[in-house]
Amino acid sequence: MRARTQRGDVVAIAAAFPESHPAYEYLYSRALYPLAGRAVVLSSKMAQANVIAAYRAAPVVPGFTEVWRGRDGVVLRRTR
Amino acid sequence: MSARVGVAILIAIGVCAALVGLGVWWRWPLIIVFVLLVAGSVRRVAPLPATGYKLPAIFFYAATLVLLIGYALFATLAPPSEFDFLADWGAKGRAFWEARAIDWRFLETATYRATHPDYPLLVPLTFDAVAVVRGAWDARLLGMVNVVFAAALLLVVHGVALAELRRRDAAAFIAFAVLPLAAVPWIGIGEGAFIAYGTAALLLIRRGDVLAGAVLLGLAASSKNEGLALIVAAALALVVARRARDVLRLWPAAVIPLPWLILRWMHALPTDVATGNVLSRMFDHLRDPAVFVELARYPLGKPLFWLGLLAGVWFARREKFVLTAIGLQLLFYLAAYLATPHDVAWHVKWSWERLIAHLAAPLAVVVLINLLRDALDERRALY
Repeated sequence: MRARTQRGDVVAIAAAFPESHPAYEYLYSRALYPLAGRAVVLSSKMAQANVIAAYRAAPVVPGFTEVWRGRDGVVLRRTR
Repeated sequence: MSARVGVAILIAIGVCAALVGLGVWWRWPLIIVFVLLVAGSVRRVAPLPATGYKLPAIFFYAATLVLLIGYALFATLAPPSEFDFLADWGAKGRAFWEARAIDWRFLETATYRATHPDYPLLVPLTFDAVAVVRGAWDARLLGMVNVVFAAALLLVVHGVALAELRRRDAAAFIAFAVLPLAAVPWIGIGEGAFIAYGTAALLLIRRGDVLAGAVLLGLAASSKNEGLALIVAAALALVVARRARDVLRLWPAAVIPLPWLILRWMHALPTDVATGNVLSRMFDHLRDPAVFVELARYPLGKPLFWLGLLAGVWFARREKFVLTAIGLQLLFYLAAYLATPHDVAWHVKWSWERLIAHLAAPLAVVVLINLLRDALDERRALY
């Protein structure tokens, strides 16, 4: 993810589980270190983000285009 | 001299972290300040009139050095992988490194409990100081911070033991014996720093070097929030040890963490244990034995070590200051569990062993010093 984002990007962490789930808390907290230099926001704040990192999920979000797909998820980048 | 060098290293780390926090992101000022502070402690002084067998002393010095080298290899084998490094200490350090400043936005938007935005910043800023000197963020190298803290604490322990027992073999043995408690297994998080600062502070205050001890107490409080409790514990322990006059001399311990406490308040960074109705939670938890069930469930290291250490406390019963400070700190930790807004089982599981490690090092040092002193006195009486 770090290689696919730039300093200053606002990255929303998306997952198949809700923000209240401990697994989401782990995923979000675990993402802070590799994404240092980017603002990491909750999936509920997707409107602020220009990048979505989706773990084990492939959401379709209006205004975002898939720019990378791997075994563990997808990266979406805002197009408008 | 070893204690002075150890204290100088501990203070120099704190000064360099503070400089980075103040915006000094240049290599040479940090190197010069660190070297000057440490070199300043290496004055030529008349050596202590120490006795003891030479061969055992050399053996324990060599064994300590070999184990420290092993610890350095372990600590730098790979980037720190502790979850608390990734979500808290390392994440903050790296975010500040990217911003070349304390990233308040990062701290203000830290959403989940694992990031602890209220924690003091000495350790993350020390990581940044390492990165500034290295010229890059090199996560593997950050493991050396643990090693330097452990080495500095062992220097202090050795110096204190030598000053009291006047035997190099005994002092070398105590430093060797305490190494597993100084060289903590948790790489890249605050425990190594806190144990080094807290233990060294208690040992110096115990010896009557209150000012230096108070500075180290302040740095302990700049490493982890538990350090604030340790200041209170040390002050109360001084009163119990009939040294109430020394309490005022602890002023540096209150002054050093103060700027962070003010900044923390200005930026509204919440402390999880202190949020909401603390007293109500404490009473609720007191009525429910879950806290105590969880405390009993998780191991605190090797049972034989604790049995030996607790048995040894009898020989250290004269150590009113250190034993009271450790006892009060333990009570503060139990109170924090009672006040936790989180799931008690989760909180205990992920912190109990580390918190107890805070207390093991100073306890082990005073027990060993007293045991050896008694043994040496008996031996002298026999011959």
